[in-house]
Amino acid sequence: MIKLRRLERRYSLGKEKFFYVLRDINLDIAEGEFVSVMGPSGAGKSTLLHILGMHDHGWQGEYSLNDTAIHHLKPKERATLRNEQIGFVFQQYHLLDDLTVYENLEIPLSYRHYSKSERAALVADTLDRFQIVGKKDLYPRQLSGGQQQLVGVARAIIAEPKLLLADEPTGNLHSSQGEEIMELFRKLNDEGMTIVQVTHSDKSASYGKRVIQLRDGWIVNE
Amino acid sequence: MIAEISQMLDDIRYAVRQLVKHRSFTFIAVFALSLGIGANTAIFSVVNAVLLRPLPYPDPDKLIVLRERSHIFDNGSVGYMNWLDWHASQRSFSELALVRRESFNFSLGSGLGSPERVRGVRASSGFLSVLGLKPKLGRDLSAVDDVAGAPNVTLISENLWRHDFGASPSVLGRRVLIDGLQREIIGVFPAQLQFGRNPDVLLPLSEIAKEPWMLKRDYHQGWAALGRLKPGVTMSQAASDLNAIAIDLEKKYPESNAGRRVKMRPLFETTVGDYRASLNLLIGAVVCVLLIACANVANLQFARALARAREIAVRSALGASRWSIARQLLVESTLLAFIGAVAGVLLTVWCMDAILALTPPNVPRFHQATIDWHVLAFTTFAAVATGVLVGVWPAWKISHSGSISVALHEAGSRGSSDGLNRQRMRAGLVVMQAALAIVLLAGAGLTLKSFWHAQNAPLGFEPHGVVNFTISLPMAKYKTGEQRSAFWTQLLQRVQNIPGVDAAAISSNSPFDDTENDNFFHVTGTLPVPADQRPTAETSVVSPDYFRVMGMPILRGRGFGPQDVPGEKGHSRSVIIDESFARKYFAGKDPIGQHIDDNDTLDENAPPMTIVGVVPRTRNEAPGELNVEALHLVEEYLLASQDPQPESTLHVRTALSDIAPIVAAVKRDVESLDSDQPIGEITTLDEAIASSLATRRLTMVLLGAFAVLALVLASVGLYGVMALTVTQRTRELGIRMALGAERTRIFKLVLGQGMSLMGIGIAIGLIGAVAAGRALMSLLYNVGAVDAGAVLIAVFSLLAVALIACCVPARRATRVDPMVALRTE
Repeated sequence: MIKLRRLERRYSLGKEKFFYVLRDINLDIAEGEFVSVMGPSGAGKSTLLHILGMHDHGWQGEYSLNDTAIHHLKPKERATLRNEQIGFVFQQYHLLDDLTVYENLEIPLSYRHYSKSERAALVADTLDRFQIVGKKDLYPRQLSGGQQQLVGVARAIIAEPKLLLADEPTGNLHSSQGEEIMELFRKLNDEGMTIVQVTHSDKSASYGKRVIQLRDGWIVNE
Repeated sequence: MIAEISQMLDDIRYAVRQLVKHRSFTFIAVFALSLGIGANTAIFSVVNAVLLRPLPYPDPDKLIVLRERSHIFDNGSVGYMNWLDWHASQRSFSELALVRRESFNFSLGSGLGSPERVRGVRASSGFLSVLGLKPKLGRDLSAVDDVAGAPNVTLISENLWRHDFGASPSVLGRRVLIDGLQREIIGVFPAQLQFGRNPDVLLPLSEIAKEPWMLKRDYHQGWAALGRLKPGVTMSQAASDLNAIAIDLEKKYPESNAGRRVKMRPLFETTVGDYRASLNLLIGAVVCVLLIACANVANLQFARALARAREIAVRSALGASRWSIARQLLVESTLLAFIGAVAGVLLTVWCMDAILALTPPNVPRFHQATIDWHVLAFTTFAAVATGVLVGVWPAWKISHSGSISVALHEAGSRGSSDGLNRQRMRAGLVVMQAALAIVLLAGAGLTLKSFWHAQNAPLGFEPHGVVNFTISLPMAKYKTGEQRSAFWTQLLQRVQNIPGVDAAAISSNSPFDDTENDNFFHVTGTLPVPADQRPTAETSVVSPDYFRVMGMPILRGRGFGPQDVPGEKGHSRSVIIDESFARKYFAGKDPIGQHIDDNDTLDENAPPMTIVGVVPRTRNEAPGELNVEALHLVEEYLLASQDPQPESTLHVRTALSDIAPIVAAVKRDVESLDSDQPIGEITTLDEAIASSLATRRLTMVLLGAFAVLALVLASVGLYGVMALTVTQRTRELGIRMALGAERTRIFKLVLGQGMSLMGIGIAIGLIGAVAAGRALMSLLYNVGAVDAGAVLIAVFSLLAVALIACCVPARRATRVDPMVALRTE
């Protein structure tokens, strides 16, 4: 599903000088895999995830997603592909404070031009699936951290992406809440969704089927 | 399409929620925008009424006013005899009417109700048809009514018809008393007729067509010709046509027509053209105010956008396109502008009465300013434009704010701060506000100084304590000079005996009464002057006490007295000249006892007049008008008993502050002399002078108000930016203080940053102020385009307000606790 070849991410430090965040990344991830990316702070984990999620365009090398050569796409085409195939879960949940749970779930659909009735049906299904129907009119500030991340995951998968990217999804949760989220991820993966998560936690990584270690921008162990 | 609408509705719903949630922001932004849009709406409603609304006649752009141009007057009145020749020979106009504004004594009949003075028009037949109007009832004037000896007829206005005759169709054939003559009402003209400030009666030429003064070709009695261009004929073609006729007339009648040409202007321009420059100035001012308000709100939007960086990054990560994000921000700013527009319209409704109260009553169409659909359409456009202006830049900058991952990372960390570019942009907006404020303040300063000069221009007489009564004796009733003289003499005797009256006099050409009376003259004994170079004097026919009433000293010779016996054929009349006359025509000589030949008399063999006195030069019109001052006309005063006029102003000098008893007593005296004789306008001379300055006052007050608005908005903008800067620099300030910076140093640091922005804004604004001053020149009196005083006051006003706006955040900066600031980070 994902194929990275000689992928680099660097920042200019002046004339002919660069700071490398990722170096010579070669990686294949098959459909249905649950991959955990680990490594110390500054290793380039989140950068790799944002490149996979097409949030970052300043990289060199080759990136193919389901045989589509992302490196040949224009930003607008990348955005369209991202909307079709990728969901993203953030460590800080990043729910929109001024929207209710229902509206937070609805918003990715509105950006994908779903009709009002389709949106209503999908949001209702998702609320039901995640058992948060009773919370649909609440604002994020009225939810616990775990509940917020549950909504965050629900929002990431509501448009039925093929690939779910999660940047330290349990990083701000206490252990029991973290376990709930990871169980949810496992369930999603069992249903066929490809998941790539960044984590510091061995326990969270253990839910995955494969671990990739990054250090100073290099893949050091797989 | 439906999805787009649904998306738009979602955006609006979300925008409403955002505005409700952030009430302080919404309040300040709406306040600023309502001031900007409200000021624009108010001025546009006036511009719409005065300059944009077409005249209420069919094909109004075809209507042309023709006047005579001479070596003295660029826009002089038309001689009746010349008009007859124009009318007969011209080929450019489908109709060419002769017309002048007049006031008439009007009553339903002798003994039927109080006589009143009404506005009217005297015109040749074809006047209504030139305008494209038809009588609402009855018939129009016909060619028969132009000829002497025709029956005395009149048309009355629709307003008078409804008010005095209950809109009865049987009004036709009824007789009313107008200027001493019973006249048959033959028609009712429609309310559309605004020529002559909504006249109430329309009289024909017949009764004056054979008057000797009408038949004298160089007599110009305030007439204008009004024509409707034939299809396909341009105004310049018509001008060539009429000037060819004028050249023929010059050859035929060199004594009267030498150098005389035809001047043409569209009726629309003669009606409102004089106010175009003032209104353009005000439009410029309110656009500046709106730009300042926009800059203010854009800066607030930037400040908010900083707080919303996370939201926008998340939206991007969730799949929002740049357009989606930009559209959301645009919807918010447009909604904000619409609320501002509604508040602005309410503000306009509230202050419109105040603006109209300042508007001089004799200015055409100002008082028709209303908030109609044109104004609302303009306001809607202004709101949308403002919304886009306020929103588009922040929206563009935010939606292009780099990679999503960086934005998310920054949003996730604390202490997110403005980028350098955005800081520069915010600073640039403050500089722009300061620059625009300086332009407005300097402009307002110039108009203020100009007004002060105009108000304090030397008058040559003492107006305070003088009450004016306009009285016009109908020629039909007061046919002879003796009759007129008897009336004035008796009236003056009675008025002088009214308790509280110090002195009373009459004059035919009262200062500041909106009329002029100019006459050619020739200094007896000097070489004859070619007809097209004859000198002209501003002439007033006065009673002996006139100079006492006006507080004018006799500089040389004597005033009028008993020795100046009433004029008889062959008897030299007395004349008093002003000092400029004496200087110009009797330099180095004593003018007393000298003689001048006068064109004013119809007696071709009248002996020259004898100069008996010299008085100060007076100003009879508002400064800046095309008046005595501008035309360098000298002044002469003739004696009323030697040349009794039908229309004069009674001047009464009193020390009483309450003039009501005097007004009542004068009315009684006039009525006791002639119960059919109304008094026209009653006003103090102070009021007349103030009224003559009303347009200047209106411009000054509005420009001043807009300048103050600009000052307030610019200072609020500066405060906002400085307050945000201090918030963003809390950590830096904390570190500085932890490293030993004294509080005064921190205060100066913040203050210096704010005042530097002001300094740059002022420097740029000064360049704009010079340009604005040049553009203002035509509206200024005795003030240059660059006036050091006005500029200094503008700069110091802005600096003072800016200092206050910077002091509050600077003071807050000194209170930063280094420990708290560093812990916050």
